[in-house]
Amino acid sequence: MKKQIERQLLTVLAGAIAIGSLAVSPKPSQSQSTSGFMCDASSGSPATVYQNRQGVREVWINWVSDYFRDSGYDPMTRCREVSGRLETFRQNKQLKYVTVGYMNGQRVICTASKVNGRCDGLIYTLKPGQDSVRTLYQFMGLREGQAGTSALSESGDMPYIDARPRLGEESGNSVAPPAPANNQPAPANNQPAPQQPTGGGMREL
Amino acid sequence: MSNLLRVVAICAIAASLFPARIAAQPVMANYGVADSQSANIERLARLMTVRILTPTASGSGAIVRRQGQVYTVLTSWHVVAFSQQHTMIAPDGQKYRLLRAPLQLGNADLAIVQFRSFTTYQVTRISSESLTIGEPVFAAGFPMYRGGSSTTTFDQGIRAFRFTQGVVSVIPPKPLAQGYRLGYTNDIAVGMSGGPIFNSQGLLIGINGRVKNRDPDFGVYSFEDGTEPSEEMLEQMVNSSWAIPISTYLRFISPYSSSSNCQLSARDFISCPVD
Repeated sequence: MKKQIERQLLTVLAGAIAIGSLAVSPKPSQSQSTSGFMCDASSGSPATVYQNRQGVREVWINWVSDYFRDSGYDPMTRCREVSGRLETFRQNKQLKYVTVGYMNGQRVICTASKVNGRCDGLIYTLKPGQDSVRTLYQFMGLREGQAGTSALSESGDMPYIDARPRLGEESGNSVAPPAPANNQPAPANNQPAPQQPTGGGMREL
Repeated sequence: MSNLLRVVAICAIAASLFPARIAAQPVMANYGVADSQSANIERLARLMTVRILTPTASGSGAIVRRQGQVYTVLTSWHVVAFSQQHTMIAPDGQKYRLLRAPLQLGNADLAIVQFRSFTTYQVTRISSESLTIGEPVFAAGFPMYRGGSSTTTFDQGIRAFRFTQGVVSVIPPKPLAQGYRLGYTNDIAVGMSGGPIFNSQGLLIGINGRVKNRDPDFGVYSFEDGTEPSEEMLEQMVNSSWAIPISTYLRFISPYSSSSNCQLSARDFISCPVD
């Protein structure tokens, strides 16, 4: 009788151990090293992709147009360069503060080292006439994981030439300027207010 | 023999605990909510969740108020902020233009928009109770992309509806930037921003806003006052989706529901009692 109970107990115990060991199966948190920014062209056109710690890939920037392939900057080249910079900034923990500013006389999306800090690391250059504040907010939205913000669409060329006349005031230029304060998302306290894209006080770095 | 009994008791407890743990993992569990209850809340969610399309993106919204033929919808500010052109798709598939420009609620990533209709739509009932960690919650909305691809679901309209289940995971001591103060385990996809989150009674408790798994070094888990969460809390925060709690909306409308306190900016949105 006692033997029988013991045998049953052993069975239950073995079962509990087996189930218990299943329950503590390791979590797939080792994939941490594979997270980060990369240029992904697997869908046909190059895109800057952020892969999060769970391995989920988010498209941040689609590199679309190809106006200046002749100058050596096709969308693929630009995608690789910008994705590489973002990954370096991510690894160096420099993406906490992003802003718009000027580098080499061109409007850029860049990193800063503090709130309202100066532009100190180029992320990418904007096209002349592009709405920089809107682009910055969209970039910050992607960084925050806003579940209503779509990927940025950027031209593949390096916009070193004022292309407006040639492109006939193409899409990026027709974007309405941001409306007054009430109509804009308030930048978070830990995020810099975008540097005012006015004529005075432009930074040439 | 008493030893034997003790072992039996321990084994019984172990056997009853472990199966529950594994059952809870692969199926992503129902968190103690009966399937029928979850199905009821999903049915309810489909009746009061709207889709908001802009020329380049899309989000979701929740119908929170009806005054005559005017419906007020709560959504994320970032869904409507950057476009002058919005199309709202009601739960029956009918499309509407907004009555007027969206209104942001304070500094929060929350906005109200309105549309006019002769059709009767269900209005969400709002919870006034405080939230507890671990309580089951249900998130609804319309994903912008087809599963894992960059193909949009714009042409699917309200057929893109998604409903996910989870629990409240973080209620931080102070809000993150833009009023985010409700962490939950539900998966939400891009496009579900602005969509409603319900408790197990089917009452509205929050509005979807941010997806999970941001890089902790992006600085998006800092508190509004600039301070940082503890390591332990940060880990939980990273693993959570984020919402604006409904109390933010209730706080905003409370002055208008008392009396005579109508400010110009809100007058068009909130009807002031005529005494």
